[in-house]
Amino acid sequence: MERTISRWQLLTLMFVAALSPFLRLIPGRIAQLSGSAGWLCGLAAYPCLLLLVWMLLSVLNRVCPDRGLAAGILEVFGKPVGGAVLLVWSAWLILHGGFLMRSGADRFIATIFPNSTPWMFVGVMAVLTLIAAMGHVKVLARSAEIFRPLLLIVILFVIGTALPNVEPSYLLPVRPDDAIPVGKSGLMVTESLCNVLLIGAFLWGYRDNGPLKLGRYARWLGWMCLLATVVTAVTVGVFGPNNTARMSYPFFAMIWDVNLFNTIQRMEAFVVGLWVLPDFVLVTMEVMVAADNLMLLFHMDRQAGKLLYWKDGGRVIWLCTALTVLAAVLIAGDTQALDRWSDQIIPMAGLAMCFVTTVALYLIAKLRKKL
Amino acid sequence: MKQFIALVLALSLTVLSGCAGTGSVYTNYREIEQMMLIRTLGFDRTDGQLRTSISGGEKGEYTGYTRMSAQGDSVSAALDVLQDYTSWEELYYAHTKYVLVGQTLAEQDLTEVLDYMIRSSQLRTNVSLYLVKGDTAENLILHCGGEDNDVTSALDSIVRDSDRRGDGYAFSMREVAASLSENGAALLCAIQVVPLSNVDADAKEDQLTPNTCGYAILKGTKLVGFIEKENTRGVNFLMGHPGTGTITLNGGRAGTTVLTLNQGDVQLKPVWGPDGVLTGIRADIQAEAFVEETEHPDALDVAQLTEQFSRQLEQWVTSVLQSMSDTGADFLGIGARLRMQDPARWDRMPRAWEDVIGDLTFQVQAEGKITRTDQLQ
Repeated sequence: MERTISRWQLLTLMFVAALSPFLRLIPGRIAQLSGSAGWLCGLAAYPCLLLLVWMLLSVLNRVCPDRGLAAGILEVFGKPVGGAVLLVWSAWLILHGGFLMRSGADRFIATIFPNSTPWMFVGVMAVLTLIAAMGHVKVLARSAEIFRPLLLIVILFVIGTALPNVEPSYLLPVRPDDAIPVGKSGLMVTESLCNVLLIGAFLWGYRDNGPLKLGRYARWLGWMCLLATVVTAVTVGVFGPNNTARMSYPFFAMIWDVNLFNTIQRMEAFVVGLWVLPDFVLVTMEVMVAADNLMLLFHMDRQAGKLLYWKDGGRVIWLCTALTVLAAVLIAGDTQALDRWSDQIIPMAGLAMCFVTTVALYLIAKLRKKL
Repeated sequence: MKQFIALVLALSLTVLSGCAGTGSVYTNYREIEQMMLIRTLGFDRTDGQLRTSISGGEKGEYTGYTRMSAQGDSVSAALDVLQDYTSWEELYYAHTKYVLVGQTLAEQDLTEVLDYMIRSSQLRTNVSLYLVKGDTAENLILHCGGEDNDVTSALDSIVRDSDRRGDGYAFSMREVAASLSENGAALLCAIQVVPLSNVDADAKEDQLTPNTCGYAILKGTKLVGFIEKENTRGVNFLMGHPGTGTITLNGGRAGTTVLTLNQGDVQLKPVWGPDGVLTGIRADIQAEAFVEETEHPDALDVAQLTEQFSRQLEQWVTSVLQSMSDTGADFLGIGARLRMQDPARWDRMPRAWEDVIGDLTFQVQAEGKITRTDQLQ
């Protein structure tokens, strides 16, 4: 079995992973930030994301083609500083993974199982993540290829059934005064996607040979920004900007109303259940990358193509999974605290991690004449 | 290691069993036989307490409908009382189709009930809301229907008929909540309680049935007025779905004539004063209808009928716009629709929409068209 992933599989992995923060943040938080004009968030995010990808590709395709972001960081920053950056990234990914486990559980509780506690959901996700992270990224990529059409069909189905209920006056008019709020919501979309972009860049080492072209990324980003725009427009158009902003999970609230000719209805449990898949893919990617960085720093062998179990680098995967669960347990005592993490701390930290790393990487590579 | 993982996975299956009471981690599991599906929910305010009424629970040929009512300090408390009296089954609200509110509760405040419904993880947001005019939701829910049907069946029929006729629209909880938060006002379809014996000789004396009787106007979350039944078509015209119901015109040469509406549309335009103040609204109505029935076919005068038809349309729409102005409640989001036409000018208005709404004048002009008369040869 070929153990590398194709460029298409990498983008598929990133697509499925991106859906996890998408529906958590995009309709509700964007309506809070920019009201009725929030649906322009995709347009505002696109240039930022394109700039980020351009800088990332410039460095990685020239400095360390086919070796991934971790190798690029060590190459450009040097071993001591680069090692510290990789450690910080591992810590961030573990924290983010823990947050995703906890917020995924909260989504289940808020939408379907109001009497439950989060720990069962966190436990199941931890077991799934551990098993997947011990395997090869190729297996995860194949899973993402199976999940992708399923998730896309569900999103398009929900959007299609909600479209007749969209009230244009909840979305229009857009005025010049809306530019700043739209810019803020654009940052939210940027955060959702840039984190996935950088995690994808860490996985470049598993990819087939050949440089990744900007055009391909630009198209991928274009589709993702369009999806953000459509999801926001439909949700805000159905519930109104004020109500969307007040709801915990407005996109999932829209699913409650899906009724196709009285034959298909009450499918929210199924859809919320499906959203485990993006969480699973993203958390597994994060644990894998965090563990890979630590293995690289401590000269451990990943034994490509084999399940790791407890041997060599396998211990690091157990450690990273355990730390992720610990983060999930400690990150928030209640929903209000989790909302603070979701709305403020995680987006700000994510933006800072992605942009500081990429811009510093580009500038230092330029200064050291590696570009 | 492979065997160990396989063992862990196999053991984990035992806690995923759906059987209640066997230590399953799946705490939300419910046996279908032990669930009572509630289809209509009612809320009233009596003696300072919230009274909740329910109807549903029909499971088949041999089980009838359950109708109950209880009161408590809050919605949850009242529902808990109902649950206490139904210990053999779990009341399940996820399939609720209609929510009725009594007039007294709506006059006081609907915040508590709306908040409960929006927060509920069981109720859908497209559940239809009705206001029971001059009566309580409890009275209608407890006394509507018999062994074979209940208030839900009656409301199903009302929705079907009023949608076709264009003289009523069942606003959903989502639409009401969105309109209240965006426009500060909303409409609810109003129903009145009438004895079934009015039309059914076999009906019991206390058997009741709902009838549509216009719309209730909510401003904030309180009832501030009604749009009477004879003008409800104006609301449906302004909402863009006038239906295909009949229109009865009296006083022409042909006597009583009944038209059936084909289609209709209203275009709204703001009327600006010299100082940039919004002074009024112009409404241009276009509608088509055909003759369904006439008292004196030989005397049918299409020009006169068209004139009568147009004046009727104008009266409907004017009356709705006037209700909006009188109550100061923009229940149809007219302001947002007008703003879309010239947002820059709208945002420069020296007086806000909420302040001018009571002083507006209306220029309503209708262009009716009779597409065919189908006179017998």
